[in-house]
Amino acid sequence: MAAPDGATALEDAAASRSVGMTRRRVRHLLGAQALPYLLIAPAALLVAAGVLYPIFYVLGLGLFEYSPYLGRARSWAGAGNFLRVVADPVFWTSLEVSVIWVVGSVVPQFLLGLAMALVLNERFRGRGLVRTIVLAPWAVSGVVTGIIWLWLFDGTIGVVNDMLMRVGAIDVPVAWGIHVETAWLMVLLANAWRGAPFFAIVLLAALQSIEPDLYEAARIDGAGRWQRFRFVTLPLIVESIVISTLLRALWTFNFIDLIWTMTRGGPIDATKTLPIYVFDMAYQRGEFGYAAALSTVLCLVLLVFSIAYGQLARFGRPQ
Amino acid sequence: MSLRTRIARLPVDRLLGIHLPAWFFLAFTLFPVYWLINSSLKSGAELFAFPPAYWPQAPTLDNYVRALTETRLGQLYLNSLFAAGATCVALMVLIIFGGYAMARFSFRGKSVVLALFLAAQLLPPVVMLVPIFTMFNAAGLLNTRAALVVIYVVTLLPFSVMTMRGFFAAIPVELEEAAMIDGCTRVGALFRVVLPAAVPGLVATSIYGFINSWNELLFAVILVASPRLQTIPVGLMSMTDESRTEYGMMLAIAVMALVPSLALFGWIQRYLTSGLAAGAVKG
Repeated sequence: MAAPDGATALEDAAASRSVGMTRRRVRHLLGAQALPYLLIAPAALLVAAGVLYPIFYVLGLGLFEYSPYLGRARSWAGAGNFLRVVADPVFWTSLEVSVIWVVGSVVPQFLLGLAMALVLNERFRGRGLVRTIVLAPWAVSGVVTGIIWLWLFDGTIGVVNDMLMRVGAIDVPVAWGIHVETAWLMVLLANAWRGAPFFAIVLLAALQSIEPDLYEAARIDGAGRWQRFRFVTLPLIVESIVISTLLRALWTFNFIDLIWTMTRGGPIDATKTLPIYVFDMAYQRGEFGYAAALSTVLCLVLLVFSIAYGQLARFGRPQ
Repeated sequence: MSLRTRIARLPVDRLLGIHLPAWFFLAFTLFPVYWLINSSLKSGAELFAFPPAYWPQAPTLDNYVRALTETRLGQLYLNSLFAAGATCVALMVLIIFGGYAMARFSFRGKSVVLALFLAAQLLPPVVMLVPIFTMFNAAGLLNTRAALVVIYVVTLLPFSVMTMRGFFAAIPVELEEAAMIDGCTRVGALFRVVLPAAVPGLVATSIYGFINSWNELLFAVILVASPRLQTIPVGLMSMTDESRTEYGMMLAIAVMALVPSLALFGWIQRYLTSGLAAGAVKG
């Protein structure tokens, strides 16, 4: 236990220091230290208004019944909306559909993107041009991508049907959009076309930061092509892989433009993901309260997924 | 040297490991776009023929002319151009200052700003639908040209500021120090010395914002209901519901929607593997 006079001395010191600190802080705030705040304020305030308000609004609105465009006043619902979510079969189906959508998109896109990055990292004639072309679908909108692939997979006159008939894989044109499996195939292929370049861009950046000396050393040690990939490349890009697949999974989950353009969530809700269900509930049916409750649950799902993914990634890391 | 001898001289592993996959990627990427353009140049009867022609027999710009004269494409195009252009300019101004602050200063609350930007990037757009709709309704912004610019700037800012921070951070601090010793103020040094060196990054980041706004669908659907103010993605999406006889025009419009995105992408793509993608990953 400290002696009484020792305590006062400490308090004195603390008091004088805090006076000095306050004076310095004021001077800094008025002078040079105010500059960064002035510079960042417009961006930070805009983002805060555009993000914090929606979050709290959604959290609150989920507790109400609110359908302004159906002519109903706002009324307290308590946990009513959330109980409705739990009992809503469409919600549970949309969650399953979301899993298919995310896994079926991210896994092929990652593999294709990694292959693209590995090839584009090699030296060959025309590499610059090939790189520009291969990465370009990344800049194409979901709507245009949807239209392009709908047209390729047209049920009667599509070129995919024509090609498959020419090689004898099918005898009559397939109506791709009508069957659940073929609708998925069409949508996931379209998404792979647009999404693989993202992985290629990120992984290519990671590959280009690897020192060539490392490969040279591995070659001298007698490592083959596969061993160089496994023991030199992979450990050095694993960080980028973990982060880019997580981000891509979150974005894919939220991405509704493509499915909306190609199938509108059909056939019979087979491609209706949770975000599309929320969009439907808010925009088509105007049930804002229930849409807010669904949105809250959606955020929880993403949060749980991200935490689980983080744990899994840490578990899978060598050290 | 003929193609044949050139191929014969290639080592087998380079052929199988590089050239073959490169050709496959090119075909996979290009064929869908080729097919879109090919189809957009066909007139009615040829467009709906099966088996389809792999090269238009009687190429015509009919679909393009009809799209420009018979539909509201011109209006849609101008609306999209305004939304994306204004977003791009506003972003440019905001990220010069914001990116510089995040790159060069350490200040109290910086971690709060970082956390805010990260949260903003992870917040699903669909969750923002209802609150943004009611907020814009209360502010009288629904069905205005400003609505899309405001929401695009807000949603693109976190990514753009963080990317710009990366471009600023790559410029040596000594440049500013030298300028300030010569009598420049901090802001003067930013504009006279640092910014000129960061122009490529600034252009790439704002063009990225342009492409994203040009392509955006969700907010464009809910915030702007009036057909007079709609953007291209909304107009295109509604065309997929219309009768098949209008498909030729729809394909032509899709080509015209594609051109600006691809042209701008070609312009900025060499910054993608340096700064642009890094911003997305480092958050």
